[in-house]
Amino acid sequence: MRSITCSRCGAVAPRGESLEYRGSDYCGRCGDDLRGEADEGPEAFHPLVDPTVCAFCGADGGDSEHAAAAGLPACPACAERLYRAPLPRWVRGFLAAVAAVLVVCTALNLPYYRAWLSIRRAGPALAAGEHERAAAFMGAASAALPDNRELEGVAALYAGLSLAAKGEEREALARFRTYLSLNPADQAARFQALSLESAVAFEDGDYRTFYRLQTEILAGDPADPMRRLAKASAAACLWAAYGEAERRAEAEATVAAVLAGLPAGDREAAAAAGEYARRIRFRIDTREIIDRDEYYRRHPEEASK
Amino acid sequence: MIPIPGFIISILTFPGVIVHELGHLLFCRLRKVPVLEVKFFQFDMKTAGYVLHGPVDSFGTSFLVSVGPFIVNTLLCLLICMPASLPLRYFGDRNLASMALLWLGVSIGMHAFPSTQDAANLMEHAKKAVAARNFRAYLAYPVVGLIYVANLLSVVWFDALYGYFIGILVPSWVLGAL
Repeated sequence: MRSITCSRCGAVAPRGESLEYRGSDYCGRCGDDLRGEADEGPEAFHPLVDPTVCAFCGADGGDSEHAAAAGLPACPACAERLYRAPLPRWVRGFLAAVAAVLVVCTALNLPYYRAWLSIRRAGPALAAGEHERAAAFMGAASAALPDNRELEGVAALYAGLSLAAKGEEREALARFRTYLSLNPADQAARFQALSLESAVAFEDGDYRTFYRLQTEILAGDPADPMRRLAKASAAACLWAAYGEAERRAEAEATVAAVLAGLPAGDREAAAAAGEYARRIRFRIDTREIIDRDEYYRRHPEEASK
Repeated sequence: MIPIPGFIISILTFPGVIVHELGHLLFCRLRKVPVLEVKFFQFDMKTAGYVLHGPVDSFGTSFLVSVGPFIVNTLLCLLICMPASLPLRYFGDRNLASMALLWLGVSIGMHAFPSTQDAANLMEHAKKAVAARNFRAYLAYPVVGLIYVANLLSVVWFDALYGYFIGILVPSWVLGAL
C-alpha cells in the first residue's frame, strides 16, 4: 500500500483514501473540509488511485502494482473475474433449459421431417411410373404421422394406384374406397374406383353389376369411344351369359357406331378401338366370356396387330 | 393496436432479454472488455437487463459489443424456430412442441435490436473514430439510425414483427426453396 503526506494537516494517509486538489494531495478528512470551503464543484477534486491496492476487493499488493482493468488497479483474481465474466448458475441453468427445449421439441417434430422427406421422394417416383416405390414412400410418410388423416388418404391413393398397376383390382379398390371416404369430392379418383369396381364385378362373373357400372362410367363422358366400347363389352357379357338378345343388339350397334365415328387420321385411337371391337365381337359370336389375356393366348396372331 | 407496457412484454418474453444481455457479454468476452456488472433480468419498469462494461479501446470492439445481441438473438431465433416450421407450414399442425419452440424463438428474436443506450454508446465511439480518421466508423451512422428507428417503432410492435419475420417467415421461405 502507498501513502501520501497531507498538504494541509501533514498526516500520513493511505493513497487510495486521499484526493488531489489544485495539484496537491490531501487526506480524506482534509479533502472533505476543502470540498465544503472551495468555490469549485466536485469535478475539481480527483480521488487518488493506489495501484498497489485492488480497486474491486481492496487486496493489498504491498510494493507491487496491480495491472489495470477497466481503468482501475485489479488483483489477478478480480481481473480474471472481470474479463471472464462467469455466468451465474441460474443463467447456465436457463441456457441448459433452452438447449433441452430445442433438442426435445426437435426430436418430437422429427416424424414430420421423416414424412416430408418421404413425400418429396414419392412425387418423382409416381411421375416416373414407379407406382410401387411411390406407394412405399407415401406409406412411410403416413406411418410417420399416423394421426394425419389427409396423409392417410393420399397413402391409400398411392397404394391403390400401385395395386391397380399390378392388376390387383380388388385390393386396389379397397384402397381407393379408403381414399374416397376422406376425399369424397375427388372425381378422378371416383372414376378410377368405378373402373376398378367394374373390373372386380367382371372377375366375379357378376355381369349385371358390370353392365350397371359401365353405364355409370359412360354417363361421365358419353362421347368417349373407349367408354362406349366398354359398355358394349358389358352388354355382350349379358348376351353371352343370359342370352339377352336386346343387349347383343346394343353391343353390335355400339361397336359399329364407334368404329364409324372415329376421327380420320387418328391411327392410334383407331387401333385401340379396333382391338377392343374384335374382342367384343368374339364374345358376341361365341357367347364365351374370357378376359383379354386369355383372348390373346388363343389368338396370338392378333397380338402383333 | 393494443398498448402493452414494456415491462409486461419483457416478462412474457424473458428468454429474449436474457439472450440479449448474453449477446453483449459474449462480445465483451471475445474482445477482452472487462465486465463490471451484469443484470440478465430484473423486474424493473424501465430496464429489464443491462451489461455494465469497462472502457472500450477500439471502434470495432464498440460496434461488436453494441450490435452483439442483434447477431446472437437473430441467429438463435432462426435456429430455434426452424424445427417448428415444417409441422406448422407444411402439415398445418399446431402441436405443443412447435408452439413451445415458436414462443422461445420469437421471444428471443424480438429482443434482437440493441437499445437506444447501445446506439448512444456506439455513436460516441463512432464520432471519436471518425475524428481519428477511421472512416470505416461512418458505417456506424446508418446502423445507429436504424437502431433508433427500430426502438421508436417498437410502440407499433416492430420488434415483434422482426421476431415473426425471422422466426416464421424466413424458415418458411427456406423450406419453400428446398
